[in-house]
Amino acid sequence: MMDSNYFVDTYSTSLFKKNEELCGDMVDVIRKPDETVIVLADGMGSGVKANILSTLTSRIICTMISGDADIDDCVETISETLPVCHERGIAYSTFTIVRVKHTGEVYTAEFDGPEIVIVRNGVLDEPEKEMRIIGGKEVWECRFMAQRDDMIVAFSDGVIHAGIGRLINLGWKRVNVMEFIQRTYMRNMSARDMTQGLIGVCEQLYEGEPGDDTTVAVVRIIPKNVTRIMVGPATSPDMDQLEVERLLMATGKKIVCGGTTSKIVARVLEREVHVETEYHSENVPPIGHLKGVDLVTEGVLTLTAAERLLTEYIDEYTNNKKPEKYIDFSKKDGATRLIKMLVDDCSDIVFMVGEANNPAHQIAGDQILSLDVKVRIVNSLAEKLRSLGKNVTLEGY
Amino acid sequence: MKTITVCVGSSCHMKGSHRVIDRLGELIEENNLQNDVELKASFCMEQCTGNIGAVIDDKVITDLTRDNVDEVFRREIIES
Repeated sequence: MMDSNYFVDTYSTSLFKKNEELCGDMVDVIRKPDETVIVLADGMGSGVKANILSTLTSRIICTMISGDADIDDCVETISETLPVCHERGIAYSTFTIVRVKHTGEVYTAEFDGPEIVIVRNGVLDEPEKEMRIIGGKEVWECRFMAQRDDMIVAFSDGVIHAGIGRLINLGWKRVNVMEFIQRTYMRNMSARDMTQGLIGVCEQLYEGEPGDDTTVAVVRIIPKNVTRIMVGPATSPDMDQLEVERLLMATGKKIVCGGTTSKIVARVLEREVHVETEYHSENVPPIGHLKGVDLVTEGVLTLTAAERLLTEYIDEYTNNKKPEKYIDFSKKDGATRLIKMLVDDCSDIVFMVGEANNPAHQIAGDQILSLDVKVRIVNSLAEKLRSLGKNVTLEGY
Repeated sequence: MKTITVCVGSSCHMKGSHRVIDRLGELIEENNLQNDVELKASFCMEQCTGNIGAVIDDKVITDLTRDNVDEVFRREIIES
């Protein structure tokens, strides 16, 4: 088996057509150890009917592709399975498939939706596509090897129709979408950042009243990395040196959660922790700075706030409707910084859980600060991060 | 030049070190002591059992709470 070199960051959201309670566009993501498959489908019509068509299409393709079926079988299965529309006499849904092997092989297949836009090294890239007739449908296929930070933007036709008859007579053409992507792209921008930007413009062009279901799905291919988070001091001070050495092995971010823990790391490194005096949140103590470590926060209160924020993020991530207000990842408190790092930049995460009871907290008799609480929060964070496709492990010290 | 360091670790945070830091910042400004007093924060000072942990230069302050910041500031900074 080839090494797994890449992690796939995905995000998608939809504007629902005005007065509709269901969306006729559907995005499905399947994550497996060796590949990630994303399918965007746009069902004919709107409302319930479109929703059923696109849900069936995206789900069938995702399940079959991830079960190693080839695209021809998928398309045939869809043709045979989709319920036929009474009025139009056909069963119809567009689809856009992006399949990324974690070794870097990318395969895309598109049927009838707007063409995907690919960003490579910060500029738009148009890899060559080949058309094949599959089950009577013209399917455009493309294969290429990923490079780090490749971004693939898929969208439904609601995006290129945004503004028709309103702000722009003929709507927003694909070329305008391409220009927008090129203009706003920045290195290290997450799939979520690009999705928010693009869907935000569509919402403005529709003046809040979308004339069609409008969906953006973004795939960003980033190098795999291992982030290490040290939570709490080891049971024996003899282990401190080892624990810090393992923290520094991280190929991704190095994070320390805990005041006492950060002092131990500083002592081993023979450096000092500089703690900010500025508060960005009532509930979260300030962060600290320690050379060689990417983020230093207080422990259990920050972790508690972080867990709450991650729960809100997962709600936002899994809900296909664009929220009224996005979670603000630009906030500077320790909990927001921590969650943004874990969600945006990490593939593999190791929680290094020191199992010493903080003697100071024990004497203070504070239940809120006890080790049990911390372990419970770490377990919950781990489980939630796994649901986002992160490879999470726990190490005890 | 004096340096006041206040503990912002978990336990002291819950006792109100946020308010203490804010108030100390105000007091430094009100008394025009920006060039004479530096305000710093520290994670756990291992004084969790007592009041809010604080150190002024090398002197450990043991009676600081969220409610007596003005008094401690007057005693330790202005009158000393």
